[in-house]
This record gives sequence, structure tokens and C-alpha cells, in this order.
Amino acid sequence: MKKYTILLLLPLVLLTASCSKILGEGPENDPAANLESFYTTFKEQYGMFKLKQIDWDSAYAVNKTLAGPDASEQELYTALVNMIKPLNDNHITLYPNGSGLPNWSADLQNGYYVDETFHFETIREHYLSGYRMLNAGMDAGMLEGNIAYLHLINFDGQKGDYTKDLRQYVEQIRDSKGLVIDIRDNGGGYDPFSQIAASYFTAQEKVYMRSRKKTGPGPDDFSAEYVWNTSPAGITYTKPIVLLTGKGTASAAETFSLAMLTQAHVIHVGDTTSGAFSDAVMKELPNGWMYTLSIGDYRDGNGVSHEGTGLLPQYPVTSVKTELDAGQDRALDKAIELLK
Amino acid sequence: MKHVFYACAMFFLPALVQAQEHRLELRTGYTRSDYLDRGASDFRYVAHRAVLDLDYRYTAPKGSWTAGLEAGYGSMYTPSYPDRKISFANWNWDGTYDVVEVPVRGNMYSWNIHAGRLFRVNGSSKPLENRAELGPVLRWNVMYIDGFIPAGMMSAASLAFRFEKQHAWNKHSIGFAAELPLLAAVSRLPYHGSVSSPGVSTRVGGFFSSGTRFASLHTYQELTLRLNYRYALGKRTALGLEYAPSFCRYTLPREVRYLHNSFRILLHIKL
Repeated sequence: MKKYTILLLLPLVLLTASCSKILGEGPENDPAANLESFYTTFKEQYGMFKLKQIDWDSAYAVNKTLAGPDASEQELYTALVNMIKPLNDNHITLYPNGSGLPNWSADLQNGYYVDETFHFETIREHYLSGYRMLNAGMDAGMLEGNIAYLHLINFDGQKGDYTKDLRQYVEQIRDSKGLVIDIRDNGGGYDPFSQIAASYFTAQEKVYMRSRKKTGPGPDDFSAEYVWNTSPAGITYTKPIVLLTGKGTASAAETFSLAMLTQAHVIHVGDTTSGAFSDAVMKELPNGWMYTLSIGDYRDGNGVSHEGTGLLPQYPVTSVKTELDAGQDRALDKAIELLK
Repeated sequence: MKHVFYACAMFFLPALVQAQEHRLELRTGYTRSDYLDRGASDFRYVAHRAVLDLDYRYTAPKGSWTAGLEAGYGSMYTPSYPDRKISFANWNWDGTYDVVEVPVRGNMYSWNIHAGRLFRVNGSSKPLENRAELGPVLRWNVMYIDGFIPAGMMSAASLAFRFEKQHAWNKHSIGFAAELPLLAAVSRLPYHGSVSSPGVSTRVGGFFSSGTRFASLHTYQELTLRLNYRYALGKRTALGLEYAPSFCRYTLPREVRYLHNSFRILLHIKL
């Protein structure tokens, strides 16, 4: 019976053993430790220091003086922002949870993303007939002159539904004269979904993107290159297409743009895209603040990076709020003109 | 000769029947998981899961066959900041602003499928008496985590060895089991934490294709213990309690450690 008594005591021993002793201690939490954690995580996992020619060690050394152990939250925030601002990467966002300070990203104004160049309600009210929602990420309708309009809101969802909806849509618009694909407010999603979407508008197989991701802490620790092709799906739309982009076109919407722009029947109209192609992941600071960072180096099929600069349209046209409020979308007008 | 065979059969058959048992055991209870995934966060996360487990077991004089399925679900957060919220600020076309606050919490979904063959190493040939068994078990454990937390998910398909010892007296029995995987295919988020790759159209597919490695005891250590007590309500049923702690450490691509403490009520039914 003695051995069973020992067994019965085992739970007590395990329960009283401190989890922190078994799993390790939590991180140190003072402003200097937070800044160091931020510096280290970026140094080991950010994918574009070389590409952007940023000396991260120097950035840390300079800003370390701003965020010593007794620094305020505002001072820590300032030091963190000072470090990431030169990276000019819209995929980096700082969420200073609970501090009352605004979220920070290169494309935010006082914590808000403001885009006065796109308003879907204007298009729906003043341009579209036969408006319908294909799924949570796609709406469609017809423009004047038998031109189809597809608004891709994001690149996400269930693969089966997504491909079925796209296939059906392409079948439905086969008699149209041309197509406008509007991704001006598409903030992205999952790159393989944008690859699937592009395949329904592809005439010729092309390499459109080459990506590498961080696989270790060293500056050159990257995966082998992933080569992204777009190839025609079973049914494809190969009549003239205008791809409408804007500053809200980001991430997987930009990788979609790369795929579409390899095709000869696609014309690019609108505003320059966001310039944030790489995947980004969420991280935490010891003080509970959170942030995202880009973990890869994504380039077009020719090996050219558009990170931080975005894709400049062949026909640059930016819509403006006053006109949009009056029912006119300049960029869409240009798209219609080109397709007519 | 035929008569000798029938005589032997008449003699041994009752003993054989008595020595075999098909049983189902339904376990339900609570599991607390403490989870430290250095690949995702320096914080320890805690999940409080409700767990349901159904086990089938065939016991014969020389050993047992066992198979089971366990599923669990519960909320997950870091005790360092249990009430933390992340804010998203939205600008509206009319110039107004909205702020959406989302709790930094997630959910852990877990399941475990296992099947094993245990061999009696000593003790009685009858089920539910004093005996010890040892043998291989094939298992597939998955912890899937969603929500606004960066701690990563994990899957481990493994070949483990299980040792069980049981001691019974009157209507009582007490059991102990230990299980240790020797080889495993462990899937975790890769170092960069992203699962998208060309042609892999689902995140689950991306997770398994980009983050699976074969592991041995050198990199993957997971020890699961079970300690249970059963009280026979009748000839076919027993009620019991179980405590099952489990500790895991896996070092690639960055170390993850977790500790499960599981408390369950069990209902044992002899079929």
C-alpha cells in the first residue's frame, strides 16, 4: 500500500510545483527590457533589413537612451516608433494596449487609417446595375457598355466556396465586353487565395512572385525561394481587364496584382498600392503591447522588390472625396473609358 | 481424442470467458494547460478546457487492445495580462471614428486519438485484478489555437510506450499509467510563423507542409501519467476519479513547453 500512497501524493507534488519553475520565468518588464525585446525580435525575425539597408543595431543604440529603465510609456512608445519608422513598412503596426496611446503604423494618421479615395457606396449607387454579393469577400454588378465589375474585398474564406463562386462568376460574365476588378480597399488575406483568384483571369502561365522567409535568427537565415506561378484555371476570363488599385490595396491584394500584371490583357489603373507584400506575424512585448512585423522578402517574378514603394499603375488616377460624394469616381471612369 | 478436446474445452472455457473483457470507459472533466511557446511569445498562456474522452479496451489473459478518442475545448489567455484588449480604430466616410476593442484571448481546441497493444508483464491473467502491462501505443495529439493570441498550435503523431499497473481489492481498484513517445512527427508553426506557400490553398495544409519534422526523445519529450481510482457499483459498472498530468518539451524551431493537469470523473462499463 505504501507505493500507492506515494502515487496518491504525486498529484499534490505536481500541483504545488510552480508552473513558472517548470515552464520558465516570464519576461522582465521595464521600458529598457521592452525596448531590448523589440530590438531582438526584429533583429532575428524581420525579413528586410538588407533590402531596406537599415542598420538596426544603430537604431537600437540611438533609441536606447530614450527608453531607460525609468522611462515613461510615452518615451518607450517614441523610441519604438523612432526605430520602425525608417523601415517604411505598412505591415509593421504597434498596438500599445491599455496605454491610451494611438496605434502606430506608417499608413495610420493618429491611429486611424484614412482613405478618402475609395467609397464603394458611390459605385453601388451611381455606377452599378444588378448588384449582388457573391460572398463575404466579393460583390459584383454591371457597368455601362456591358462591362462587368468585380469588387474583391479580401482574399480569404473557404477554398471550396471561393473557387465555386469565382468559377460561376466567370461563367456568368463570359458575354461581357470587359471586366473591372476593383481591389482599392482590399487589405489582403491569404496569398494562396489571391493565387487562386488570379488563375480565373489568367491566359498564360507566368511566374509572378518569388518569396523567402526567415528561418533563423541570423541575417541570412532565409528559406529557399518559393516560386509563385499563375496558371489558367479550368475556366478563365481573358477579355480586357482593368485592375483598379489604390493605397488601400495591400498584402495579398498586392501579390494578386503582381499575378494579374503578368497578363497581357490586364491594364493597371488607379493609385499606387500600399507596398506591403510580405506576410506579417503578431508579437508581444513584456508590457503587454503587441506589434506585427514582416517575416519575408517578397519580390516580383523578375526579382524586383516593391516593398515600401508599391505598384505604380500604368494609368495613375486617384479619385477624390468631393467628387465621390457627388457620385463620381474618377478612377472607375478611366477604367470604363479604357474598356469601351 | 475428440472427447479429450471437449473435456478440455469444458474445463478451460469458463476461465477464458472470465479472463476476457470488453469495456468502455467514459471520462469527462477539466484540464488546465500551461503553455509556453517561445516561437510565438515569452508569456505563459493558460487554457481551461472541458474534456471528454471515450476509451475502448479489450483485455485478454495475455494483454489488452486499447483505442480511444479525446476532445477538449476551452478559453486561453496569458495570466500576465488576463484582461488585456487590443484596439482597432476605424475611420468612417462621414468623418467619424469608431474604436473596436477586442479581448486578447483565444481558444484551444484539442483532440487525441490513440490505439495500442499492451502485453501483460506480470500479475493476474484476469481483467480488473492486480496486473501490469506494457506495450506500444500510436497517438495523434493536436492542439489548435485561434483568436487574438500569438501562441502557436501543435500536432504530434507519435509511437509511444505505455506502462500500466493496476491493483484491485474488494470493490476498489487503483491504477497507474505512464506513457512516453519515442518517435514522433511533430508539426508546429515554422520559425517565421507563417503558413502560406504557393499552391497550398488551406492554412491547415500549409501548417502541416511547412512545419512538420520527425523527432526522437532528443528533441521531443512528452511524459503523460495517469492515476485513477475506481469503485465497482456492480458487476458491470464502476465509477472513478482520475488525475493525469502531462509535461511536454519540444525544441524546434524554438522551444515549446506545456504542462497539462487533468482531473476527470470516469464511468467504466463492462460490455
